[in-house]
Amino acid sequence: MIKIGFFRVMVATWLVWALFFLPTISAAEERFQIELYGGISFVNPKDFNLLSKAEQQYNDIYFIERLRSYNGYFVNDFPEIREAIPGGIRFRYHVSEKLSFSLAAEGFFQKKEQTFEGSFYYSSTASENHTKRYDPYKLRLSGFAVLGGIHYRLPVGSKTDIEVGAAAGWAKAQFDFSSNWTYRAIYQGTSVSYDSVDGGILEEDGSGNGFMGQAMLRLNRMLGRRIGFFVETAFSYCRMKSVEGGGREIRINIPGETTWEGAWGIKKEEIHLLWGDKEVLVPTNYWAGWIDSQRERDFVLDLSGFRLVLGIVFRL
Amino acid sequence: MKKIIRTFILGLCIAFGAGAGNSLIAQIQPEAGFCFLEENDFYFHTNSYFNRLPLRCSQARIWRVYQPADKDPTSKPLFVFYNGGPGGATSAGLFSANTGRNAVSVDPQTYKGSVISNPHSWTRIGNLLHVDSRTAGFSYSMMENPQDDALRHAEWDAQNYNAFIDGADFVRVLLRFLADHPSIQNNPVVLVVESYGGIRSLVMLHLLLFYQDYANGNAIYQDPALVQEIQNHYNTVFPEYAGQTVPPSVIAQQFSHQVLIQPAITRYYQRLVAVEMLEAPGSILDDLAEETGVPYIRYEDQPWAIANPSPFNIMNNIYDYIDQIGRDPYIYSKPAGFFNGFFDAAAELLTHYDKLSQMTGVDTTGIPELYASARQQAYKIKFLEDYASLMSYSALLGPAPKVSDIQSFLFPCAEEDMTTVFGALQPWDRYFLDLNYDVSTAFALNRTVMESYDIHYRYSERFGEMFLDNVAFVETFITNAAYDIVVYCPSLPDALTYHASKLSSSTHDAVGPPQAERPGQILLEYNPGSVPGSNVTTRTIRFPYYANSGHAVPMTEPGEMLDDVTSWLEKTGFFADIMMRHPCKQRQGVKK
Repeated sequence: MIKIGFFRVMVATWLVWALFFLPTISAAEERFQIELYGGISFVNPKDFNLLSKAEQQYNDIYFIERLRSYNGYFVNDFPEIREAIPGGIRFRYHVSEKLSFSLAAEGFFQKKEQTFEGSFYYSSTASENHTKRYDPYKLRLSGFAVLGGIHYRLPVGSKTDIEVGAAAGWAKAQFDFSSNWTYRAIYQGTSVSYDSVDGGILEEDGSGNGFMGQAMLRLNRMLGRRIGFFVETAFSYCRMKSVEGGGREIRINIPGETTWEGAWGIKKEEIHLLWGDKEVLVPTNYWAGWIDSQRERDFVLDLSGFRLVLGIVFRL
Repeated sequence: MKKIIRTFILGLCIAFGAGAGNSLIAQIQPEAGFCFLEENDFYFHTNSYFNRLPLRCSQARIWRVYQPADKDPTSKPLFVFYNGGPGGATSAGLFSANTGRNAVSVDPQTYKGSVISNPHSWTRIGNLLHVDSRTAGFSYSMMENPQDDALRHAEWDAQNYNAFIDGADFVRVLLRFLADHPSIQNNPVVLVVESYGGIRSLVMLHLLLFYQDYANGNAIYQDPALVQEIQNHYNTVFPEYAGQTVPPSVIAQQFSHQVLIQPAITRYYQRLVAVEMLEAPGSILDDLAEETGVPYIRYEDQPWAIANPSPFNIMNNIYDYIDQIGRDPYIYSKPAGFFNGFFDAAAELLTHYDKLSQMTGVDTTGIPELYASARQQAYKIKFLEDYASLMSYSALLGPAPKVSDIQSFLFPCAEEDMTTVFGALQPWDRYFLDLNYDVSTAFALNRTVMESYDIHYRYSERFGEMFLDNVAFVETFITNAAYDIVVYCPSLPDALTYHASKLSSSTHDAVGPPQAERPGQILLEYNPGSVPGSNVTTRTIRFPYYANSGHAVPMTEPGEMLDDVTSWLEKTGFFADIMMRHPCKQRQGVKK
């Protein structure tokens, strides 16, 4: 028994030594490597995308449902950010044929912008027309991270190998949203008419930072001794909890503008209507004059998700 | 030498005393003039901040007339009078109809008015303040470029005309008047209102009693500047609560009583019950049919009747019948035009400056804001041309206006006398309007209506609930006039029962209180805990019956009403412990 246990320890020790030290780098000058990469990442920052979901709910409540007996339509399909464009540069140092360490700087960006309108009307002895227009509705998300990683390479051919890796570091992200909207209501009766326009611009932004971790799997292919490419898939984990920012509102019938600064949170609005009450969760950083119980929870900027990148490798 | 010095010091003391006394005397002289209201931001919301409706009301000069009490005015309450409409002038209404020192008497043959001394003046029991609402009576609004038709047209919208800004206007006028008159600033205040004024008073009292809700997002109407002004008033009047939220039970020590003359309160339910009662067999309409020989054809029997009519459809059928038999819906014992004829006669009289001065007790030529030179930015009507075709959309409490009403509305009084004294006004301005139809149209059709905010007084339940909240703290007197079809008050007790979230019952007691010459009470039983800040379970509303009156009880039974109000105030302890209920008087060491 003791002999079997000792044998196992010895084998394990030899394997570890062989993993890290037996295969030697063929040339000392190829220890360094620079990689450039870009691709697409799939994210779902749920709390951030609540901005669009809340806007859809508002239109459902205040427009579509309120005017349900009217004719018309409204494409109540607000953009959300579900993907981003990452790109980065990574410096790699090979300690052995298979093992390397890295330092990467990468960023990502995505913008969605849409212009749309809808109208509802009825016409009998009198006519009424309600039109709402967004010109535009904009979302923007970007970030930057610095990550240190460790990678392990497994040859599967003379010039091809599979690599696994992990990285961790710190990320900073910012977002902003802008809604430029108008709402026009026209009533034409047999003996009276009414025409009014309401509208405004609402802009809010936020930024946060936090830990980012990545787990990577990639396929490398060298085209020559010093240049190659790779295809990498990775899962990133990053959830930022302390997000703060500013905001600005202009309303067309009120001169001036309102500005504010505040911490982002999720607000629960219990909207009291003639035909019933509705609940909407909306992210906001505007809390002035409202009762504390409306704060449902913290706002989390969740940048976690899978990504797929293509890259070029330069061995130095 | 010593004698000279003593005489000099005595003279100084007399001079200082006279100065202070003069200041006090100045505060208790009759006054007439304007209270300036600045632009103010407020908003409506349904609990979603960025989906709110923000509005900014325009500047306005609000006309008010103050008449001090006959005796000892600094220790008497302040009675605040206003009419309704909306858009109705208090000056041609309650101010002229037997509440002030002078009154307008209308010759029944010629319909001409004359100024008479009023033997039933309310100055017997207190100080009086009569207020005209925005762009009604002598009040006028102001804007840049009033000559621009499109811009002036846009003024007639929710930012200036809705039930809440209307109530807020009056709260501002009242608090600023009290602040300008420190000798009566702490005194109890009694609202005396007529018709749509019932809605205005319940909004005013709710703003005053539950004021913090109007800045913390709880209420549908948010007006932070007004709430601050109210808090500042309470900091002065209730210094023990300075800087804190004052509970409604304490606030009601000052705003303790209200007198409602044929009021709109819970308008939809009042109308619903009224048409049920009037359409029932044996109603007063059948009495009128027997008296006149013209049968009343019930709505459902009309060939043009629609299925599922609204109470307003049915009421229009009743108005048509009243018109057909040549009676006045505001006082159906009188011929058509009686009620409005009084307003017209009063308006004609008041637009002579000497008569206005006589009525107010003030030389009105000394009021600078009356002059045309001070009114370059003033406006009072929407259109310059005849727009009779546009008047079928109205939020008037009574029947919709006729074309002839509109034509007289544009130029109700010749105003040559005023023009001679005060100058010629711009075409979109008027010295006086006894009923501004543009106001009633703006109430009926504005952005809050188009965006379905639940604040229209004709339909919304919230006003009845606000009223019941107020009554938990405020003693209430409501007239029940025999001949008023427009506000058919026998419907009120049952109408209040529709607010089941507040009340478990509302009962009309036609017999009580004991020994009342004109009996009548409404007995309310509240659901426990249904009123914030109150443990109220029962309340009694004084509800006297006026057998000879219509919509304007002071017009036809002024002495009876004043006696009833005086008796009621006494029985509710108003006069006896006016000092006790107002701790400030105790702290100031004012003797009872």
